[in-house]
Amino acid sequence: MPTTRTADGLTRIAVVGASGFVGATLVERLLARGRYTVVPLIHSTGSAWRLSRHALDLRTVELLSPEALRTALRGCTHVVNCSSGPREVMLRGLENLLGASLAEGVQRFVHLSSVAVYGDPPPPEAVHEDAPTRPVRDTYGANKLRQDQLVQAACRRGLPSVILCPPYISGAYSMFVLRVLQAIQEERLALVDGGDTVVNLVDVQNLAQAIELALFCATADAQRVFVNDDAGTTWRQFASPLADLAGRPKPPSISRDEASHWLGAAKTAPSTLRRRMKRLVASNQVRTILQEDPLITKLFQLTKSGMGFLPPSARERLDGILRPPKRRRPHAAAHPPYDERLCRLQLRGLRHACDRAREVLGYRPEVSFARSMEAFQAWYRATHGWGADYAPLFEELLRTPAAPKSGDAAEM
Amino acid sequence: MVGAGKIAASAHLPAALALPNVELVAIVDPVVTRGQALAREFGTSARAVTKLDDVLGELDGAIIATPNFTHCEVALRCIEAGVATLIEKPLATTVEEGETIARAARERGVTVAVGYTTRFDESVRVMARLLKAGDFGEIRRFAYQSGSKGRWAPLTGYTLDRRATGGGVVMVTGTHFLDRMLSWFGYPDEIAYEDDADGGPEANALARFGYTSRGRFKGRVRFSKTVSLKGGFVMETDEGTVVLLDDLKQIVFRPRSQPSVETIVRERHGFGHRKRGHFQLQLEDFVEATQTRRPAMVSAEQGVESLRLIEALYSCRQPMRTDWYACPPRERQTA
Repeated sequence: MPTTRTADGLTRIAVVGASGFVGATLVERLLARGRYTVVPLIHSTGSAWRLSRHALDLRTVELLSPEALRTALRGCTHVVNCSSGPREVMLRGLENLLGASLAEGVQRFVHLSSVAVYGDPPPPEAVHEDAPTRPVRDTYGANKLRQDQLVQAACRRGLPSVILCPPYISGAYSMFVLRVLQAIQEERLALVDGGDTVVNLVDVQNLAQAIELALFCATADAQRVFVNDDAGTTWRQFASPLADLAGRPKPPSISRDEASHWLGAAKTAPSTLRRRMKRLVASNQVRTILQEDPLITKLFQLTKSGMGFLPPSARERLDGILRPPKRRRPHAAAHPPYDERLCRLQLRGLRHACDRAREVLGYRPEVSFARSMEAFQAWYRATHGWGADYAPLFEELLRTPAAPKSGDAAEM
Repeated sequence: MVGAGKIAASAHLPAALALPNVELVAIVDPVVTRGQALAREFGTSARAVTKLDDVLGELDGAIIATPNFTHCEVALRCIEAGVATLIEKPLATTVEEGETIARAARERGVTVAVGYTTRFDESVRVMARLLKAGDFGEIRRFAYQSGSKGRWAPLTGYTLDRRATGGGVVMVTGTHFLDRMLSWFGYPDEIAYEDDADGGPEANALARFGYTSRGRFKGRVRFSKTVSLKGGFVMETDEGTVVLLDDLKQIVFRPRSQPSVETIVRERHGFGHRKRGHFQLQLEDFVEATQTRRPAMVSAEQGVESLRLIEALYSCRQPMRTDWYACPPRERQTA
């Protein structure tokens, strides 16, 4: 129940990133409650159709503009950050959002983080939130970790905050479930060890429930809180109803060893310091910076144009220095046509526990796994399906490849 | 150029500047800096002005690319001044407004064209000719779908306001296919329709059409602004299956008697069109129609017909299911 109110008697909740999957679900949920004033903040009107059909007052806000954010948050008692975007928006935008929240006296800040902060794959200790965080630099997980640190710093400066860490999000509108379904449709999903491994899912309604609880829970110390569904669902249980929905046979099974082998996970050559330095010097980012200097650009051009006059061996050597070393992908030729990402996820073999969510938020998932899948199926059939009578026409459409972009058919 | 928004910048201005017999005189927009920025970007000497009336006397024609709800008022001012108008689709937000524009154009003898650009596509024109000649055989049924997760975001964001657009995905995006459908098959005899609007513009819509007077066939059409769908048209006839994807590059015909064969159907000598985009072809047609006093490829009357169909759909609207988590009836009883 809300514990804080504005002068007009309502809790005023700003949802930043309201047009996204989680944001839109949350806005719909909070509005259905009827006891909050909801301020949906969006980045672009183009992606806000799911919410605009409710005739809401949607406000566009630029996260990179501190002034615009202060204006948008004026009078808000609570803020939920569901925004995403490129690195600059994720980091500088969040700094601005936290600054505006502090300046406007926001009473609770709920930030949507991700289990990606623990790295890919996460360490075995990532069953619990206190596990070491080891995302690879410049990845989504690293940006999410930096975001967590920003929220924790703002919390220390007086902004009561909760950080929620969902795994993959399921339910109606889920792009993750859609991806798995499409992999099954295209026969690109293999189940590792017959699908006995655990899939970490949270239904979007359960996540929205957790966010609502986080808005009013007693502890707001910016510690990470995992939010999962309650069931230890396996990949087999997950894939089975999707295979039925796709009208395809159950996905084939491959052994863990087989999966590890073709993913090359165990055999990636260690990166030496020399290779790393070469990659750094020849990287696009460094090249871009260097090319801002006209003298260096000229030198680079002269070197390249002069290469033609060198003997082949010297040319090859110089070319090797100027070009970034290629990342080797062992066994690439031997890859079966499976979705690599989905295969990697199955190799994690880790289930994030949501004991802290139970304890701190009082979280008890409202939507069961079965109901979550039913919701996805209902949404999918309504938005993608044609019914049995028109299905053959739809198949004809799907199996028609796009025409070649260049080179008219007549010239072929 | 009336309106200095995204469609002006991305399509109309490049088309106008590419035509040797078109002189761009002015860019009209209430926010003058938008017009100035466009003029700078395209290196044109066209003046950026805030009031249409300031330049009306200098014009032979106007391209109206403003939010839908302003089309009628702007068009009437142009027509009253004897200025031919090319109006971005849809013609207006209601049939009544559309008829007002069409009537004024007739009375003043002014050319009005509506911006259904896909009609200038070669495949769409070939399809129209072959359908008219009955070359695909007797139609049994057709289906069409298009879906994208938003993407197009006008500068003013007016598409979020149902009153400003006159509707939702059907009016904003679907109207292109409905226009093609009308040009291919005529006005349907039966319609049924559902969408997910909840006071605002609908994001998803499903329409069913029945044709009884010109053949006997049915069609099912889906538009979405929340899911990405492979867009295209597919038609089943007694001779086979016809597919035209939304890239509109080529018609594919799969004869019923030869399931392993497919034929690409296209204009034999039509490749010159491909070098010019739809918007350029549309503007060429508009200029020629204005100069020769012939009707434009897509006339105001055809624009009204599209609005009439959309209004008919909205008037028989049934709500689409959106409560994905609702208990099935059996569980509700036990709950």
